[in-house]
Amino acid sequence: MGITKNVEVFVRKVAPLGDPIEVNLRGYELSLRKDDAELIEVSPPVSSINNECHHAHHHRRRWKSKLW
Amino acid sequence: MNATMPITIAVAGNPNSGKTTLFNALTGSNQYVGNWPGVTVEKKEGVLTGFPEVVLVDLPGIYSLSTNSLEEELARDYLLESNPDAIINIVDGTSLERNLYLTTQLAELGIPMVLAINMMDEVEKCGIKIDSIALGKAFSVPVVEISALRETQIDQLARVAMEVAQMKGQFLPAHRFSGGVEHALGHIEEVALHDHPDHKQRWYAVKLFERNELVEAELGISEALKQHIEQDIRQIELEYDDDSDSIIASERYDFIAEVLERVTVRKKAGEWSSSDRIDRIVTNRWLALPIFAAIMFVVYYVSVNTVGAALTRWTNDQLFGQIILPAISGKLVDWGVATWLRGLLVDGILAGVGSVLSFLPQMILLFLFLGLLEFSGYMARVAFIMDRVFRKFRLSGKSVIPMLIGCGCSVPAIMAARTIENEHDRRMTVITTSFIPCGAKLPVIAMIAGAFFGGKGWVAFGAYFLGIAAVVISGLILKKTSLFRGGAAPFVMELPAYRWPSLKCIVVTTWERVSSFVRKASTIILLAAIVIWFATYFGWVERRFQMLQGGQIDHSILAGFGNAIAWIFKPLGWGEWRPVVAALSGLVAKETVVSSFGIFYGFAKVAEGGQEIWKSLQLAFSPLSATSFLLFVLFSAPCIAAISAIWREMNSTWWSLFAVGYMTTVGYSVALMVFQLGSWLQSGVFSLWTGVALALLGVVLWLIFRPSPKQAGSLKRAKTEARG
Repeated sequence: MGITKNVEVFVRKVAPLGDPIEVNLRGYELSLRKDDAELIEVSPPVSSINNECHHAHHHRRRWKSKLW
Repeated sequence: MNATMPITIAVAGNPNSGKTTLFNALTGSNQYVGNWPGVTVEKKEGVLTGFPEVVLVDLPGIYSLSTNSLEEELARDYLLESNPDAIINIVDGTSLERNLYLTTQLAELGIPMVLAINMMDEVEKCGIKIDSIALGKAFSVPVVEISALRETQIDQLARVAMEVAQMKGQFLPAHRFSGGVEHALGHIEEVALHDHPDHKQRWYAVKLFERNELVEAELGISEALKQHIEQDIRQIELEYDDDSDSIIASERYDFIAEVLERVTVRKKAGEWSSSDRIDRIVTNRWLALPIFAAIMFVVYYVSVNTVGAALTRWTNDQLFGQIILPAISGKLVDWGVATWLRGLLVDGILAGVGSVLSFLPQMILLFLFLGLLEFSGYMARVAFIMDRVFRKFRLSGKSVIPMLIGCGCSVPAIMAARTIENEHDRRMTVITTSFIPCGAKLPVIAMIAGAFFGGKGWVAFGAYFLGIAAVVISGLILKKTSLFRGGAAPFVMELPAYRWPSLKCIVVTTWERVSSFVRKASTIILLAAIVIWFATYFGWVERRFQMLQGGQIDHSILAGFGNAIAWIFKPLGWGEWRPVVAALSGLVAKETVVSSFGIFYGFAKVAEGGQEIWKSLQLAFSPLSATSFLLFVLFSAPCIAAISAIWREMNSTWWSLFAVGYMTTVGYSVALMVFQLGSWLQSGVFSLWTGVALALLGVVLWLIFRPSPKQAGSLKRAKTEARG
């Protein structure tokens, strides 16, 4: 689903009950459960557009291919 | 172009790309809605309007051709095995980045393709400019800009699709991966695929590079060859510091980003669109649930309660009761038709048909509303809002809709489950929905409450509460069984932009769904109605088989059958043929339970709550056995109409039998536990059956609280399994 190395991720909405969350990446939105989102490793953005913006880094290998 | 050559064109695209709208626009009402073999996923085929030789196949909405989901597998298998003449790949022009990912994969299949950029009107409104000629060049496919909703350029698209279909076998994908990867792919093609046709090589080469075991097995790649290829892959992985399938995915996105950089001009990103503004209210932390409740209230109130109920009453009482039935009965008498045949036609067949038709008004209204919610984009928000609550029971956030509709009638409720994406969630919803007491169960509740509990409202409230409890407990129990294990795919979905839905699209979709139910249901219900009619009106009087007169129902085949199986229900406290047959007659429609008692106790017609027979019931039942009877009627197999809806949705005899068997087991077990444990508490006598009831309770508790066998570890483990 487009969560690959070095892609910018931005948390856009949180569901009323706290889970799932909606993230913005590559110009579109995805909603993910927090359990799944936890598997994405993020680091602070290289170009600080705003402080909610993160780079997905090495998310753990096992899970990765499920989300293309 | 040879006009008589049959052409098959597959329509592929992401969910929410407007695929269904396009399909409806291309085929009009010339469609056939069925299921993909053996699964609950809808399959649609249609004939291109004006071209009877062109068949369109609507593939499930998918994000990629990997095999992460059932839908992806179905689409991939269809494309590889059935080898259509062309693909129409519809993409949402407002989110090309994601939609084109599938395009890069489809292009590798070697099937001629046309790219339809949908929602061009919105693209323009968003201030995005797309150079579609340059985009087409990058993928080496023709591009048509369309609006499926407004039906602009649809004819043009159909024409181009038919043209490209003539290029079959000559289509080669244009996009390239980076140098190292291309080198490896070239090498794989050379060593493993050289005897395959050129246009098929690339797809297989990429799959072998990704170490796809299915493809390795399909091609019969030898172990030695695998090792040989493995060296190439390892080298690239080392060079790129990533695994091969990640490299491919990344490069697809890089390719798309590079192309879009060239061919599109867009406004500054990061602005809040009108959809975002709506979502700020509709998915707001405090307002989301009240708004959802209000919307569901309106849907329920109009389609089930007021308008729907009035229409159903009118169909039943006026159309059937006053117009059709008397007219036909009259005609049959005029023609001098034999009494038994008249009975069969009027009481058996017509009554059976009527019971199907009486669901239709509610069902049509409900599907119109559901279509509105689905096509406008709100349905995706429902899943987003409710997911947290429902996923604990292996249900989807969207299961809330079938559950609510189930308060009115299980038939449309079960059919509403098809908007749920995940097959496990969908099956679980179909199995559990009819635990929610439907409208037809209310007269039975009123009868028992009136005869034994002073008509107290808490009985009805308790029935709903137990219904919800049955859903929750079933979820907890079933999700741990091997039937629902695995497939723990991460919940990934998108919230599509809100759109004005097209009326035509909603109407066509509603029509197809309702008519496919009627086709399937009418056969099974007709058959059941005839069998039940025969068993009720025929029997042995003084050793002579004959049609029965009024008051001879004790002699009917039905009564004989009831007597024969009454022992089964002894442990539930009502092992006598009358309640047994009454409960069985609930299969026709649950409210029939009341009128059956009426017939057994010698009343031709009883009021809805069965006031006339309360006295007789009080003699036949104790409050405890009456409770056990009510619980059995509430939770065991639903009516035949609902069973046929289950059968239609499950699309599998095994799953349908499982669903009905499971419900009946639940109904029986609950009734048994309540009656036996209740008797024990009342009388203090511990019998064999008390022991059975306690053991059963123990089993249920164990099933609920046992650790889930494989998912006990972390989520990650479940995912690795699902992936393998």
